[in-house]
Amino acid sequence: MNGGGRAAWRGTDIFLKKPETQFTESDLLAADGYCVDGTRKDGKLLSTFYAEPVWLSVAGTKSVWHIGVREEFLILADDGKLTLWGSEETPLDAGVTSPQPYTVDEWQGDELAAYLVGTDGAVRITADSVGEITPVALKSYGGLLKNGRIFAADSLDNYRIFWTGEKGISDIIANENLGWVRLTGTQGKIQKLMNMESDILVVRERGFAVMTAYGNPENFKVTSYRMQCPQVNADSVAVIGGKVYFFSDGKIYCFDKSTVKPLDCPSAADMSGVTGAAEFEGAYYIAGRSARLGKKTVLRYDPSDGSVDYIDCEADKLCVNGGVYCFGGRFAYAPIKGGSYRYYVGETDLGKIGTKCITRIETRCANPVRVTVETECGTKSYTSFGAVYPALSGKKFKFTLTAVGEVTRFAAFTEVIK
Amino acid sequence: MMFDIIDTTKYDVTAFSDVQMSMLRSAQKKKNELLHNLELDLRVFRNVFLANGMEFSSLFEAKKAELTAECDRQVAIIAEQLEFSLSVSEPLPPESGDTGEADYIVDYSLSYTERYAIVRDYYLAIPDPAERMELYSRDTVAREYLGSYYGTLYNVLYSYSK
Repeated sequence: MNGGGRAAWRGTDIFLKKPETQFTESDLLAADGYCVDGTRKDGKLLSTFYAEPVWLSVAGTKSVWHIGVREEFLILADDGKLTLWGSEETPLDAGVTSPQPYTVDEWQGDELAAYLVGTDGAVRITADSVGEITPVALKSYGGLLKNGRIFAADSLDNYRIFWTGEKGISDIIANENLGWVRLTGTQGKIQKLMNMESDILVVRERGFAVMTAYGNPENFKVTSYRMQCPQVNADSVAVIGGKVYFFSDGKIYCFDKSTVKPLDCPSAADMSGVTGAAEFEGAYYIAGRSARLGKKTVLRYDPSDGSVDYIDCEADKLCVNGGVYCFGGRFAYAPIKGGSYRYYVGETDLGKIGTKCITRIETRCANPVRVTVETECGTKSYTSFGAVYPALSGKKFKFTLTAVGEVTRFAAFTEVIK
Repeated sequence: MMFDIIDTTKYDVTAFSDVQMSMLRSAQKKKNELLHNLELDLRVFRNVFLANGMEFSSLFEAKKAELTAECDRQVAIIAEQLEFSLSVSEPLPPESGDTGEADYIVDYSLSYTERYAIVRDYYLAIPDPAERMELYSRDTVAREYLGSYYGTLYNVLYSYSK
């Protein structure tokens, strides 16, 4: 009997016993998360740009364009009034009304002039003057300048595209020397025209057409595509590298001149009420309301790697001029590189079910990093110069990292209690 | 055959001679041919524009107007020529041929080639080859009017009567 009792105390039995605690390391850079004013790329976090707000006296932004001849932005407010904004704000007496007003540049003698064209009139803008509104005989919208001609949709027949002759804007004002083509098919009305490489993209209600228009009108061609396409929000359309991106019902879609496909971008479901879009350095930007952030914001989607980030500003419209300028409410947001950014890690159990204690959080950055940990028991913030030791317990955690400069490591060490 | 190249209510068509009816039929045939060709051309252009998605465009409308205007212009010329021919070509009396007057335009200011074409067209409008040859061989006006071309036309008309 004694011999059997000794065997029960042999060391192997002790080592086979499950330990009370386990120590694990979780790479938080690999966890589900999203950046605001920054991005996660190649296993590290870095800032993109943040939006510096500038107060404007405009009452909401309906449309905005960059006017090259003045190096200023032209803002059309919701009340139809125009404002030029560059180094300073210049309210204009003129204003236009249109569902999709547009701007075109035109050389007149030795002078370059920009025209803002609405359905009721056109406003001439030069380097040193802004003219009064000139009534237009042709009611057009959503137009653009291509190969020396103005192309625009007809306000009285929303399926028709007009193009001007040699006189450009004068032909619009006088309604003469115009050619036209009426689109067929079941893709709905024309919403606007956009430049797409050497062609013209025709944005319709439920699809796209592509118009080639080089040389004489005899060479013009319109290609309509048969496609399964959701309702197209014209304000969300941007062209990136010959492909068309747009937002519809919580998804980002891509039209590649043959078919429309939804992209694998779950974060897009976070957005709604998209009112503006832009392309910059190969990325797709949309302005809308974010459920995650609980407010209006700008989402940046990079088709090359599928990454999604946010820019923290309450924007309605976007305009590109060496960066993405955002406009909303009574503010313009100028893009500034190199600011602080935030990285939110979604709720995580750090790979282990049960109660855990976070014993250590490590960061690697040239600057101090602010780390916030949120559990069911409470929230605590720490400033990390390399490592912090929270000793926080919980089953699930949320982490927020705020930093300036590149962060190449963000890891949590936990001890599983039970 | 429907006749619409000229306003036939201006004429007593039932009183037309065979030659006049032949002129009318010939002119109407030319008009119908022009309209047919116009339709074919429009179909070709419609297909070209359709292939380019420009079927409903100002370009096709302009092309259609251009082709139609050209067709209308040619029809107007034929109609004008026909009306002139009908006005100078009264119905032949029952014993025609010996009157010494020609039923075609006799204008000595015209070149021999033009005279030849007028007389040739007139005789070719006569459907019966035997009657045509008989009338031509008794046509003393033509003999003087055409000069050396009379024999040439005789041979041509003879070849048509075989």
